Amino acid sequence: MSKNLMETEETNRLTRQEEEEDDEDSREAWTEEENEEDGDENDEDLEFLCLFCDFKYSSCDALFDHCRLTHFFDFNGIRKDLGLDFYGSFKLINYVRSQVADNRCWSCGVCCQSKQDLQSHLHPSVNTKDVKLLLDDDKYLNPFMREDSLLYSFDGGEEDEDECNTSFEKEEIVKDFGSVCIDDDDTAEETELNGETYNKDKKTVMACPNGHLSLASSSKIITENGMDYGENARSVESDPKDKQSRVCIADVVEKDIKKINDSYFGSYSSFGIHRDMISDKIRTDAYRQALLKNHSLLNGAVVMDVGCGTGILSLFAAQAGASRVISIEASEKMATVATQIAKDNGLWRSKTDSEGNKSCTGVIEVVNCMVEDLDKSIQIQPHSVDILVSEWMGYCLLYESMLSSVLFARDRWLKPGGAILPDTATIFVAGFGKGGTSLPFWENVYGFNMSYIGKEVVEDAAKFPIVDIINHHDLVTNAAVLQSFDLATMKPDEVDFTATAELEAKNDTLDHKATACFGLVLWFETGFTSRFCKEMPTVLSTSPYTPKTHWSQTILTFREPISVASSKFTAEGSAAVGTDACPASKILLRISIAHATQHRCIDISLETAGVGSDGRKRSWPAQMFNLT
Amino acid sequence: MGRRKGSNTAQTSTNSSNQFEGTKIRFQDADDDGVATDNSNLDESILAVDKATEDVSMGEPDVSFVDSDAGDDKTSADYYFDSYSHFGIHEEMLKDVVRTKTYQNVIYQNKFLFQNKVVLDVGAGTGILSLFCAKAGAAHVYAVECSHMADMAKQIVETNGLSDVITVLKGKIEEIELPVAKVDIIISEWMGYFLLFENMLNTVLYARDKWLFNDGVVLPDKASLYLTAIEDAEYKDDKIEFWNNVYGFDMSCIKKQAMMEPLVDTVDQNQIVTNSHLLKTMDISKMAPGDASFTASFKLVAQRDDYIHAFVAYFDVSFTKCHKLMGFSTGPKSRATHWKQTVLYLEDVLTICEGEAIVGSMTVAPNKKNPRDVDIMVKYSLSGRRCVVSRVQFYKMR
Repeated sequence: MSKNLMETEETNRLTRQEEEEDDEDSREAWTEEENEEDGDENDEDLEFLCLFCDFKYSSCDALFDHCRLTHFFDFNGIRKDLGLDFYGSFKLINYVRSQVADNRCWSCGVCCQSKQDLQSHLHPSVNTKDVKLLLDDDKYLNPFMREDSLLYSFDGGEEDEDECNTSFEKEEIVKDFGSVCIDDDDTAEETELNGETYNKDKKTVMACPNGHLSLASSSKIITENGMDYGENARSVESDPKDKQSRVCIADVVEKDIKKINDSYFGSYSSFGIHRDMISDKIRTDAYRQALLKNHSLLNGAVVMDVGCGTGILSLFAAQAGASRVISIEASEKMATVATQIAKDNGLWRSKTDSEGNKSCTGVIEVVNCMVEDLDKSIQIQPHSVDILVSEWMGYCLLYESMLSSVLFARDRWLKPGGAILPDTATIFVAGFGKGGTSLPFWENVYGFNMSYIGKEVVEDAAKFPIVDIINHHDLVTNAAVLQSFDLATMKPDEVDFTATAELEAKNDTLDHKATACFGLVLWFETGFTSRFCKEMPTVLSTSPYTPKTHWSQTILTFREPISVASSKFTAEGSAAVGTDACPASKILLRISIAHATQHRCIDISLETAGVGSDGRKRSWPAQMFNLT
Repeated sequence: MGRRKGSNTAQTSTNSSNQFEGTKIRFQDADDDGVATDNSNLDESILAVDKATEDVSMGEPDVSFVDSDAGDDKTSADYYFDSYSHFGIHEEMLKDVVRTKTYQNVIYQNKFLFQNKVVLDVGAGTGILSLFCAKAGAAHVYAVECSHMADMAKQIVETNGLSDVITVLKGKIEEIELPVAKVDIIISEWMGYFLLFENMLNTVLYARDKWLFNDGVVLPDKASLYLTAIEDAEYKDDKIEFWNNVYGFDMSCIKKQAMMEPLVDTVDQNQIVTNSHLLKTMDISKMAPGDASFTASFKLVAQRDDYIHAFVAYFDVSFTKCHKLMGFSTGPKSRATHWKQTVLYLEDVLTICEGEAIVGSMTVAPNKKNPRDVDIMVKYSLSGRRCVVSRVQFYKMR
């Protein structure tokens, strides 16, 4: 599941590559295709939602006029004042949306009781310079609102001067076309914009207002983990060439958004990352084993793969003898890849085969939509699926998790008693020591003391979970189960939970010395248990004790370390529990994980108490972590 | 220079043998089973077993080897937890001993350069270079850093009792004001992968033109980019041909795009088949900003009969104003650095005989849209006894 980000990018590349392959056809042919294509997409209306109220506008200008006149928010004025470039403006929109969601004034920071209060509070900004500092946070590069078409449509602004947003894209497109056509050209100059190419491509873009649309949807891909709405009409069996060209334009435009992420978040874009996801053997092998080694389960079964990505699980299912595999992928790009791969491997099930016209060897059909919208794309009898398979797990199990989509599919299409793979999921927790932090490094750097940075790292980590590998040698307590899910029976609203756990200091040293516990490690296991996988049950573990996976572990750091020791430690009478003088022998935890208001994210709350060997108890203030 | 790693995780992550993992710099070797190497970001990869492996004299002593035959897993921290990876980058760079020690030696062993001089540290990061300069007797050091690290640097300077010598200024070089009109020395560690990726060179040049005395010194003042060619069947298989067979399935439709991405990875010197050709030398004290875009021809002569799968680019940096010439190389024959080398895979496998030459040219330019990306075009041809090839390939560092 965490793979989807990468996979999306993967597809970008793929489609671009297809462009290249396509370039035997002349550039003109290309352009024509684009023009044909825009016909049916021309009349799509963009809906721009006001930053402050529920009004919607069909153009950015109208929207910004409204914001300026009604809400005292002068978008273009502020951009000019602050000299915001494209990314800055992008951040500005997300910043304002995030503040409004909290009923907070974007300009003075005052918190209002309600949206109405906020709207009446809004005032002309006094010192916009202050806002610039607040904007200086890369989190605002994440679209705050789903499908925020505004983000991809506002005028390109100062930086691009005469060129507006479309030309911003245009330039990129031209550039791309340039490189696409390179194979026959020998000189570097050909990659440069030359007038002719430029004009042609300009035409393409002009005639294709859908560029915006594609952009909007592509951003979704990034932000929503591939929930690309796209037009369902783009069914996979449409003329492949036409399809390709459509994808291409969207793809090219998408690069701008991707760039934002590239530059600031580190690149999602590498094919290598995707390769790494697939070659996360622990993950892939667990599924492979569950699917291939349980013949009685798979043989002749109707399988649904929720969020199929490259389709690797579907391929396994097909290989294992499934009679039909319905592979659902919300990202249009990824669906295209999965389709191509299924075809390349002779496992594609052509839809026309029911009429007997086309030869059909395969069993896989890829449906490009969200699970929730599946009925709009394809008719599947309710409760007709034998096996539901999905790799839905995110970091800390639930971050960006598709679990609710899987449960949706279960309740609608899975036969009573049908199999769900995996069918259990368990979250574990343990405490880690200093070795799990980078504190030691910063204490002496080429003779200089930089422990201030170490302190800062820890402070930061007390608010934001870290996803990283923890070595099991660095664990200072036992591991405890925090929460278990039975996917076959759980209710959709049980995804958010509160649970308690009790950790005991590791008892493996003879001297029973106190050691500092700097925080908690969370990880999960998913089980393909004998309930369904009778022949070969399997567990996929992301524990620090087992080989690492791309999920690593999730690290929650305490504000201050808690000293722990086994109960045999003799404490000094009056010292506070959790100090070196009176280490805790037990740590009591109460942890809630819930989906945050900002989509994709989860909030983790952590309450910690220490119990001394003498039974005295001390509680620390609750901590909130936001996994964004 | 907190950007290098963050925005280049793609390249880093494709190195399937070793990599840096977030702040903790855990060394996780997926292939090299059983060997635990820690706290060195010097990649003694399986390819480079014969490299000098002198250990870093600091950092975590604990061995945190996580055994796995899983592929290379970039930790998601790099994608999502900015502030965290932020520190991680600095840790990674500081732990690059070749880099940091060279600067340290340049400064400590050439105190005559620094004594009573005013120094400007461009992109100071943690402030380590400024601290070195202060120790070497600089009259004053202005450490300019635009990121949040500036606050850290300030604190570090204070902790180490050097506040009266070092002034940390937070802001972009192009926007800040210095309390002095001119400086004697500009020091910076601006180099990126492939020398120019994500480069800060223009920032250094800007600072030079604005503040440096006419007879002032830029450190380093020389950077050279080289090209050579390697046999790399095994890794090309691993990284590119991988897509041909994924658990028995054909995913080759993804392959072609993979070729476009130069790979930042460590190359073993035994893989080198040809000579190295100097593509470009930059004199940082004189060059104009535009000089970072160039086209250079090359001729790579095979030193043995072999196959060629890739070109490899790397750079040297030198400090010519030192008492003795100092500097370091990021080439395959030198001790590994966090810059590693940059591998550009070829469409075809070239069969080359000793004495035959690949001739061609490389064009390097910042991407028009995102100047931190680098576009690379390589034209090459070989007319050998066993292989005749002429081709143009494009790459993009991103």
